[in-house]
Amino acid sequence: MTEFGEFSEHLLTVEGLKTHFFTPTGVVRAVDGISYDVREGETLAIVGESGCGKSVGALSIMRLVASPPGRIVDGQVNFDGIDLLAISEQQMRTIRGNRIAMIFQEPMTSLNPVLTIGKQITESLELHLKMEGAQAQQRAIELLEMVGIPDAPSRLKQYPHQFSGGMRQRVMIAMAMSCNPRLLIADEPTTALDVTIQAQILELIKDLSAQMGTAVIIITHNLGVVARYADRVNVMYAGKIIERGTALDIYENPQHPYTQGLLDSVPRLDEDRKQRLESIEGMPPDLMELPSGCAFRPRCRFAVERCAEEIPPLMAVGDGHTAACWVTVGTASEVGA
Amino acid sequence: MRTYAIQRVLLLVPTLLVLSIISFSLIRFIPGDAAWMMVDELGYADDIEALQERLGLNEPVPTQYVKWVTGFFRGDFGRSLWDGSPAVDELVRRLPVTLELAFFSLFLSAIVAIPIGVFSAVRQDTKGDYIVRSTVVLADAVPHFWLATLILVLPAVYIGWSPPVGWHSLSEDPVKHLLLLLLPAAIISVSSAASLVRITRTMMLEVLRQEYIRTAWSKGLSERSVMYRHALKNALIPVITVFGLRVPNALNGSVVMEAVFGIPGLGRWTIDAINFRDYPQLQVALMFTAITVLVANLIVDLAYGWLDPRVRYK
Repeated sequence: MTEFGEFSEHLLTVEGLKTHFFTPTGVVRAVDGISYDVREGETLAIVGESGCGKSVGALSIMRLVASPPGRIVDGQVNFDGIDLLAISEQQMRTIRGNRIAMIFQEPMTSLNPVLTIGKQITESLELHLKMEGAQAQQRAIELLEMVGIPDAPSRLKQYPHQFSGGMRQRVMIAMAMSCNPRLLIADEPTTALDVTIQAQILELIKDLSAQMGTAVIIITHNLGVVARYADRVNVMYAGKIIERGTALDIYENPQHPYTQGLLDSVPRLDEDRKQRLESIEGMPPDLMELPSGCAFRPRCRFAVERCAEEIPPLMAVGDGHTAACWVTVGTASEVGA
Repeated sequence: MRTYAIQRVLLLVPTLLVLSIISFSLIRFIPGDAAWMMVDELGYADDIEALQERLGLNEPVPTQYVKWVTGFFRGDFGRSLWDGSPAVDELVRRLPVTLELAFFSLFLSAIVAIPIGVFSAVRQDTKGDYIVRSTVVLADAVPHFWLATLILVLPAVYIGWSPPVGWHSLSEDPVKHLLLLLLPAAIISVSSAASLVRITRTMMLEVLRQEYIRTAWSKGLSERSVMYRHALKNALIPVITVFGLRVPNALNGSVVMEAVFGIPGLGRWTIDAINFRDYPQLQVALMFTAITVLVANLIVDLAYGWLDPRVRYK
């Protein structure tokens, strides 16, 4: 994929992105060379365990990685024809919250406790859409109604602690969608919520993004979410994408032993209940001292000699389905960086 | 919030009672009373006992206390043992001067310290931050009376000029009034500013790690908006506490600076009351200074409600 290839179709192109953290004890390679793209209006899921770099990768797109210690050391992020890593901070601010918006994991702590909900919503409207006073208020009421918060006019004057977790996440969504973003990054938007609320929030994100034609990157470790809401899936392990394909590819025909392991560890309704749930042996690797070759090798039941010698690149399994494994994908043609 | 405010006001009653006992008894521990001074040291009269009776010093101490406290409720705060004038008359002239100096100094320390604290946190571990942090340690360690003497004496010795000293009333000449207050207020504010810088910096660093700050950044807000609208208001809650704790310090400082700069506040008057064992005068001075501190702390407590909606809605 070149800089100009399939330009109109791809809203976001990430190429060889590397974000490292420079700590006193060593360099943490949180994101270590990931490449992917997001098409207009589609939903892409990024799946992986805690600490695999999925959140850092998303924050890197927004250039919100805390620096120091974090730094984007290499790669390109192209959003709608703009090289996000090359523009000035000031230009970046006109994109953040406006054309790319973000929702975070913890609705309890992601809203400012001392500002009213109304203030926190109208702030974006005033900044990016140049709305003022009553107009911004009116729009904020519409937004709250849109995300299903009843009694919006009086809720606007309230503070975050007066809302429940699910309601706060709705407020976050209203804030994120306030400027009709082209891309919404949802970083584990339901992890901190009750199961019943989780589904409502995900439905809400799905409906709103469909209505507004917003592309969504949903970061999750919940494969159930992936199956229902994502068009395509990237599976990440130790800072790299190790498999990607459509949601169907990943579910029906997982190629990487790690993806297979993840799927085996999810209870499924369509399987015999007496079957034991599998778990993946071992622990995710220390990102400061990755094993040689494939990072998953120490936990992999298929590992062969070659896995210790060479890092497997993403190799084609089928149309648009790639996986990085020497054993399962074998020596099929190599794609990607 | 209203119940909270009422509770806080009611709590003032026992505090004031204890305060009255302390300010009443402390000075009586110093040997010798006004009558003894008048007779033995100054020879104003011959008979100590007669004089003590005239001044009401012969009665048992608890009786004197009860008389004094009940007097409070009638608006009778006692008369000076030396000139017989109501102690409160002079207090009313002097207390505002001390209060003005103290609160002017607190105001100065806040407007200087809070932006510096924010700067130091935002530029953590840069050269600017190191300069601020080392200056703060120095500022905290310098005693204000020493600083005042230095500022008055050094230029006098080396360039034959020293800063103006004295007092102009506000109504007489407002500009001159403030100019003369500025230097003593600035000197008192140094140590308060140091602690305010430190707490502001620490709290800002704490707040800047919070997730809602990341949310604010993700909206595309400018650094200024993120720092001042989103971070500072959260960070200020503990800063206000420290501000409240500095009130007694500012009053102390005022008393000393009044002596150095020749300002007619409570300072000199209080010290005179101690030296001349003028019990009613000292009691009134102590009580009203203490009430000032209590009221300031009450305001600080209520300010939490203004800053933190989670307190307001309890």
